[in-house]
Amino acid sequence: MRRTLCLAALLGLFGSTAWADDRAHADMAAALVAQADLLPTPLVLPSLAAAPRHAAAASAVKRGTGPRAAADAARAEANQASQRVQGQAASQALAHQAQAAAATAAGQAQAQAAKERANHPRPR
Amino acid sequence: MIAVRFLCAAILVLGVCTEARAEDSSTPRHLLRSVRAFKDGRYDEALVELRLVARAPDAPPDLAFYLGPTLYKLKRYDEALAVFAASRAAPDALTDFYRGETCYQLKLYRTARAVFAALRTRGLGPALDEAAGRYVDAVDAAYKRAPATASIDYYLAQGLERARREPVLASEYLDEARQVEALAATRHRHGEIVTALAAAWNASGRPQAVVDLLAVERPLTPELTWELARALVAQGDATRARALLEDIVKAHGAHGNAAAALLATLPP
Repeated sequence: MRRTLCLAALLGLFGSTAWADDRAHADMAAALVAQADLLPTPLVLPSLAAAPRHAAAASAVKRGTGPRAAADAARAEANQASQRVQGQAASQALAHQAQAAAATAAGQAQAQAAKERANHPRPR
Repeated sequence: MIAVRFLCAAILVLGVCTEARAEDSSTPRHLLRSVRAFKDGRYDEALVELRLVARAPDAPPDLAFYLGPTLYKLKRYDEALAVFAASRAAPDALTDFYRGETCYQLKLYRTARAVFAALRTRGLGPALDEAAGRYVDAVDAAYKRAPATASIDYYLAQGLERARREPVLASEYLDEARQVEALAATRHRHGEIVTALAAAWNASGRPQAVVDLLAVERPLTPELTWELARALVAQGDATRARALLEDIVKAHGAHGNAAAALLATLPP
C-alpha cells in the first residue's frame, strides 16, 4: 500500500506540468474546432494595377470626364471596395452594395455625358 | 477498507495539489489562461498571455498551435503566417487548418489550397474535412481560367516588398507567385520569381527548398548559381559548393567578391 502511495505521489509531482500542458492542448483543440471558419469568404484574385486610379465616379461626373473613364473609375472603385470588404471579413452583402453603388455612379456618369452631348451637339 | 479510503483521499489531495502546482508554475498558468481567454473570444487577452509564454525558457515547442490561431482571430494575418511558417513543431492538423485559413485571408490561395488538400489526405474530423473541401473548391473555381499576368505581378511585388525585412513572409508570397505563374498561359517574369524566391528561402534558413527548386531550373543564371552555392554551403555540401563558387569567382560577375569570401570559409 505504501509503495502504491509513493508511486502516486511521485507521478503527481513529476507529471503535473505535463498534465497542465495536456489539458491546455486538449482545451485549445476543442476551441479551435469550435471556432474554425468553416465557410470560405468570397474569393477575388488580386492583381497589380498598371497605374493607380484614385478618381471616383462621382468626382469624374463633376469634372465632366468622359463616360468610359468614369465607368472605369467606378469599376476600379468597386473592385477596391469589394477587396476591402473581403479583407475585413465583412459580409458579402456589403461588397455587393459597394459594387451596386459604384455601378449606379457609373450609370449616372454615362447619363450625364449623354445629356451633355445632347445639349452641346458637335459642330459639323 | 480503511486503507482503501486512505488511498482515495490521498489521490484526491494529490489531484488538487497537482492542479494548484500547475496553476502556480508560471508558464503553464499563462498557457491555461490564454486558452480560457481564447475559448471566451477574448483574443487580445489570450495574446498577452501567449507573449509571456513565448518569452519563457520552458515555452511549449508547439507554441504555434496557440499563438497562430490567436493572431488569426485578431486578423493579424501577416504575424500569424510568420508564426506558422517559423514553427518547427511536428505537423498538427488543427494548426495546419488555421495556417490554411491564414493563407486564404492573405490571398495566398494556391498555398492555402495545397494546405487544405494535404489535410484532407491526412484525415480530419468530418466538419473540418468538409470545410477544407470547400476551401479547395473555392480556389479551384477561381483558377478555372489561366491567371492574369497582373495577378503574378501582385504576388511578386508583395514578395519583393517584404524581402529585406521579412524573408519568411516574402518567401510565402514569392512561392505563391511561382505557383500562379506555373498556371499562366505563358511564362511571365519566371526568372525574377525564382531568383527572388531562392534568395528569400536562403535568407530564412531553408537551403533544402532552394536546392529542390533549382534542381529543375535550367539554365542556371549567375544569380541562381550564387543562391544554389549559398544553399549548398548552408547544407555543408562543400564539394558541390566549391565548384560553383569557383565558377562565380572566375566569371568576375556581380557576386565575385562574396563568392571568394565564402570560398575562403570552406574546409580544405
